[in-house]
Amino acid sequence: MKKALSRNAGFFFVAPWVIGFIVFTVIPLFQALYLGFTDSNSITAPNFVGFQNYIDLFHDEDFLSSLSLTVWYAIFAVPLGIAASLSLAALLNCKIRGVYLFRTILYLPAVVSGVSIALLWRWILDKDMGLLNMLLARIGIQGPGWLSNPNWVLPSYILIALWGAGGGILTYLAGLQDVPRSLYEAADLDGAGWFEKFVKITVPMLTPVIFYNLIMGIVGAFRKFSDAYIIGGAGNQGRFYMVYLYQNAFNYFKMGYATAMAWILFLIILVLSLLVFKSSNLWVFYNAEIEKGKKKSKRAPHGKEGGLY
Amino acid sequence: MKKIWRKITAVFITAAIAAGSISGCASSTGGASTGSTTSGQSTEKAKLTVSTWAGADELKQMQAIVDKLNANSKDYTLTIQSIPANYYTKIQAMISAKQAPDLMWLSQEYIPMYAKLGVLMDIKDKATQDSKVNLNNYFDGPLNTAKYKDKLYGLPWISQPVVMYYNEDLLKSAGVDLPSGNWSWEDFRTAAKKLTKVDSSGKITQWGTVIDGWPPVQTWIWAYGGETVDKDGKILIDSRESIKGLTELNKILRDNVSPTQEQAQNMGDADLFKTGKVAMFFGGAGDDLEKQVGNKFKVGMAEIPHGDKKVTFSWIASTVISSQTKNPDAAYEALVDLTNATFQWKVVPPIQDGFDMIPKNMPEKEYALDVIKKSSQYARGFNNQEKETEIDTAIGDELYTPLINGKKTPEQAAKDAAAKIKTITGK
Repeated sequence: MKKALSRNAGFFFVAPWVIGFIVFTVIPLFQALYLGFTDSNSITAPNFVGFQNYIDLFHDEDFLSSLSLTVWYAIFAVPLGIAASLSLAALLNCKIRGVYLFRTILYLPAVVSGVSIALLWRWILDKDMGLLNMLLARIGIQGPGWLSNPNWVLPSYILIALWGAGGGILTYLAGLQDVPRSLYEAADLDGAGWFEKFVKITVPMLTPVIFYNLIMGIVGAFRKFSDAYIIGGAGNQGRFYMVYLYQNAFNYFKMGYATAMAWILFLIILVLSLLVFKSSNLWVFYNAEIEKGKKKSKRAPHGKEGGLY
Repeated sequence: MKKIWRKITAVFITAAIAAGSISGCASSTGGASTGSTTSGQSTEKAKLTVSTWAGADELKQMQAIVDKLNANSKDYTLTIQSIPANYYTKIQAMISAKQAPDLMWLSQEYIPMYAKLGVLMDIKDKATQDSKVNLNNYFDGPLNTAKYKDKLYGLPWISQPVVMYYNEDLLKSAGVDLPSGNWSWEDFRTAAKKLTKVDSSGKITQWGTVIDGWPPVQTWIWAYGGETVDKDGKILIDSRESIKGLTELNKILRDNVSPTQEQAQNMGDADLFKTGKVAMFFGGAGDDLEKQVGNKFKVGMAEIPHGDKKVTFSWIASTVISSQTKNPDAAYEALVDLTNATFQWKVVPPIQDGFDMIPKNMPEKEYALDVIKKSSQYARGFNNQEKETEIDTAIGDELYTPLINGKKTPEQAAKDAAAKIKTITGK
């Protein structure tokens, strides 16, 4: 008995997590799948309605507009956010005086509450009394109604996302520390400039981190909620997917409908994530691959790894 | 194979033990109240909960009221459940989990929705036979919001009619006569134009009024005989009368006498009034603007302007009883006691003889007692529908916001809103 217990000790240790996962994730997931096919209002017993929720969703203008807004936001905010974070991280990796202070300042948005940030940006983007338009006015530009003009709502949200790009520098900085110095030394010997080194060494070596941030960025963009809920913007132009989902679930008592929306969102994120995973073979390089390449090529001289790119 | 099964069995035994402990922690379902009141041989008081969005100071005051009730009652002990943020989200979750509070505060627009879902207890029979409740004493406007399909689902405890606050100093300096209480919307428009000041660079430094989605658009629709939807749910937002009201509103909006919606929402519409940047403001009769303004300027209050008739929106809330309560009789008794006690609180009550307490509880409102009384007589709520919150959003998105921002004509806005409401209600 004792022997059996000790042999299976590992399973006993993981059991609490497995149970938690089953009870709090797997079961609710299947319940949610069922709810999406019902007219659940979260209070009375739900009735099975088949695919009606899904059919209704694609005839719902608000659903389509919220989906469209969220997709456009993801298309712009995710790559721009990655580019901004990566550039900032590269700059903050330089050995200059006060770099730790700059790192702290740029990382600050990540530790400030989302609600505070939303309220701050609502003021910054005010058409008449906002900081941004006041600064633009000083250089002779009449700023737009960032949140009141439907055409400027999406750029406003992208701007807010870029302001928070400093939050992403942490992983890039960690990744930058892992780039072997030998690669840069070899590139120096070959006469490469800073741009060539950045494009041909830094970026490829950071692709695992970029890959991670891309996945997280896509998930985050599609699940955008707190600032959108607070800031809004030009009627329903600031109604992101999750805001509309929340409204259906908790304001309109359409839990079945909202759950169907959640499943569509899940599928969108799943498909995009799979595409990114699938494509990763083409553009993500892991250090292990380099090490493997090194071992294979016994005659490879020091710093020849750069040849991989 | 045998090994794998053994491992799986080990995991599931642990799972079963843990699940047992989880279920052991679970409380019984079916209402928040406890206590024995069966067979009329109750040995202890029924323990009831009442949910409220009151927080901070209001909560303390309410606690004092409840403490008194608890001390005097032989049948119940009431506990306050304060939910100052995300009130309806939490209430919904509690109801879903069969843990609804016995008594709940509900704003008027939620009552038909909750009643239709079977969440609320009908108190019509009890209330009509109860000597402690005088339904005839209620104003029709507030009482109607607690009714749904000929049943009564709660007792209103507050009815705050929208009145017009004005900055007396600004009106006097602009040479505008103080509102007589009989202003038409045209009179209001003229005054608002006089009260809007522009500096030499063309920048507006003072606005006549603020209309930013508040007060409700029904203020103008009702004033000219229109409705958004009638009691039976018939859509009337695009009727001739409704469009007339919207046209009058549109005239005010196009006069540039109000800050933009963005400005008003960023700075706070009431704050604009309190800081002297807006001369006339529509607020609830019980709002403590006088206290907050202090000595900065003299605040006045008048009935809101009229159109073809006098009518104003009233912010109404009721206390309701959950159908999940285990102690319906005690809950009903607590509801009546709490409602009657609340009338003595610093609220504008929904009953005709409830104004005597206002000077005592809110001495700063004494000067306007007559305005509050008159406004309460013709104040009303929405013709709330089962999908009222969805309808309200549609009216905001399709009608009010585009109208404020000059994006639609009143006719187009009304037509779009009617179409949207039709898709929501199916009527």
